[in-house]
Amino acid sequence: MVDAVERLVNLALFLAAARGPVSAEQVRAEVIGYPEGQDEAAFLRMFERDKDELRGLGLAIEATPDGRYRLDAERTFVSGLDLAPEDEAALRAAAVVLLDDPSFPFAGDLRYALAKVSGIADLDVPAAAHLADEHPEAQGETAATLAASAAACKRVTFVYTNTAGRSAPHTVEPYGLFLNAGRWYLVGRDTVRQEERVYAVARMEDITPNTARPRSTDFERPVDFDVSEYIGLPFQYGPGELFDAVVKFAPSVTWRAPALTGGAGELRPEGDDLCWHVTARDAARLARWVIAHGPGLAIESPPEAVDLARSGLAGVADAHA
Amino acid sequence: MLIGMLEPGTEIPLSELAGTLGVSASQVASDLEMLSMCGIAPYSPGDLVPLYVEGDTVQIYGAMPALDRRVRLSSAEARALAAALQAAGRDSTDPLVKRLLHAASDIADPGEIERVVRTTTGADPGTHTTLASAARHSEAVRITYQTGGTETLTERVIEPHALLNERGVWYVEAFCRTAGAIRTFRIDRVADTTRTGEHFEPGPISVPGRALPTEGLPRAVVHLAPGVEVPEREWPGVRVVSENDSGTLVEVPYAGTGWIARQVASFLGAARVREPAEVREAVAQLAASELVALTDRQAPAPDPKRREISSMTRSESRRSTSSTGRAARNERP
Repeated sequence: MVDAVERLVNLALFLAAARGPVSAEQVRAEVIGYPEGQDEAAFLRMFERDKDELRGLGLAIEATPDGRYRLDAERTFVSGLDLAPEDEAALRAAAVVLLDDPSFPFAGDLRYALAKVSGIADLDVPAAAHLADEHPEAQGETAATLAASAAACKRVTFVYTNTAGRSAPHTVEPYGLFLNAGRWYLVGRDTVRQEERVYAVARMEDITPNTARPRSTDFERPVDFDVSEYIGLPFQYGPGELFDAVVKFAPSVTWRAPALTGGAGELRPEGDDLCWHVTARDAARLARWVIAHGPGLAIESPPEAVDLARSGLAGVADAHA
Repeated sequence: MLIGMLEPGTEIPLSELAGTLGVSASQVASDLEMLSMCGIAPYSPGDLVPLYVEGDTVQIYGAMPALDRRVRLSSAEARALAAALQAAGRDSTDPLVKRLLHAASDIADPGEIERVVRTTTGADPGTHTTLASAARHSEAVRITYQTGGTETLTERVIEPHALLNERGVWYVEAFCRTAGAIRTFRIDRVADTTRTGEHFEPGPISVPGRALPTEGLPRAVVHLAPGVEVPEREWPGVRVVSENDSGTLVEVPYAGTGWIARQVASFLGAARVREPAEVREAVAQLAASELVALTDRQAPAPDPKRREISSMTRSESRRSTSSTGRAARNERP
């Protein structure tokens, strides 16, 4: 009895060695591993699953108009990838550290990706990562499930406990995931409330992807969806009205601006300064953020936020006089 | 996966394959045994995967019957690689990311992945790569570093031992030759790096569990006003001493007064340091200098009243003015 993995390898080798398209019957006849005496329908189901499995591993198996199959070599094999030593080092430095981080949801796929693009190499970059710090294993597993559902455009249901402590079931079309300050978040469309919402992965329980009709999708992600639009800084959350703010970076700290702003808003040079034009909802939190990330940062507008910073700092000075 | 890693005419230690694939050597041996029985019709010896396992190595004694080139990434693998590179500051516009995904996957636009999965980071990829490479090759690096909470840039030569990522923030743990001690540096506060070419003897340091150990650090006693949540995630190692209607008393480990002063000041008066005196003073000075900076920015011309602020604050303000060019800004209407 040939096991499933052996059959898959034989099928992959057969398709790769074939000089042209092959029929399902040829596969059945020439690939060791398909049970003898298996009825036609069972064989075709097994063959379909095997093709999907191999496609999932990167093999581009195509069906020809006459119902046969071929491996598209151009789309299957790596070409033109010649990494310079410094690229190799950069790749490994960036990626190897995440292989052992339980909160990184793609560690298994990452390991295979590294093996494919970089081959065998020692993995001794001395590093460790804890991308998410609260229940990292649980967040990593849940994020992996949600990412798979998002990629397959399949709905998920889960029980969500909000910040007020209330738990309720949700059915969501998962659009994307982002990591922010040690927590994974899901952005998706709640099918009951009919609106896009952001959910903290750590607050989810009983996550169940829709496994019905696995070969079809449940929804279409909006074409203009970009998960980064949902990543907010602390002062961008809350019930307040959205307002425009300007934060100035002094010349000595402009080099920190890209990292601190994380791509939010717009950085515009003004004289020797760099002005960060960004939207906010909470003036007090904006003032707190600017002070916490100083020195060299100052709120330019709106005046309410400047006043909050000034009166707050005066209070700090008084309290510590 | 394994097939693409087996080069004809080579002998590969099982441990290398196991390390690359993240499985045990015995699992690799078992998979290779199975692989040696795979092939293409008519499955004669010349049609099988040409390998045998002997001891701790695998011998590849001939050419593969097929699949003798590296297979492209699946979409899941491409997503994993892109997400990992993002976490090191390399987004879809990064040349390495573009080249990798273009050559190794079907995904023509790395931005497609980025629009669905985002691992944010503040690290500069060049700095990250330099420090990681230096750690790997035990090479000292000269860095220009902004100490936490201050505007001071210092030059140091460090011996990087390990890189750590905590909640998306990268740190490098290193022996700092300037300080003569092990230090942890936030990579997003490293303004510049220069490789020295000097190699150092790697010490016994292994990769530590966390970037910010708080054991042995001095502790400040801080009072939080009623209703203020203890910032457990922002203040590593914080411990609640007491809690009642008048607020919460906490102990906060701190490595430098610059960091804790800025943290306390950011509560805009809702946090007050009880002790030690050095932290109280640091908070007072910071609040005063930030007030001066705010006033400078709002006023078109120097205000004589500001001179009433303590002489130390004024001198600090002058220093920062000259180093940052604020004087020029102040002259603008």
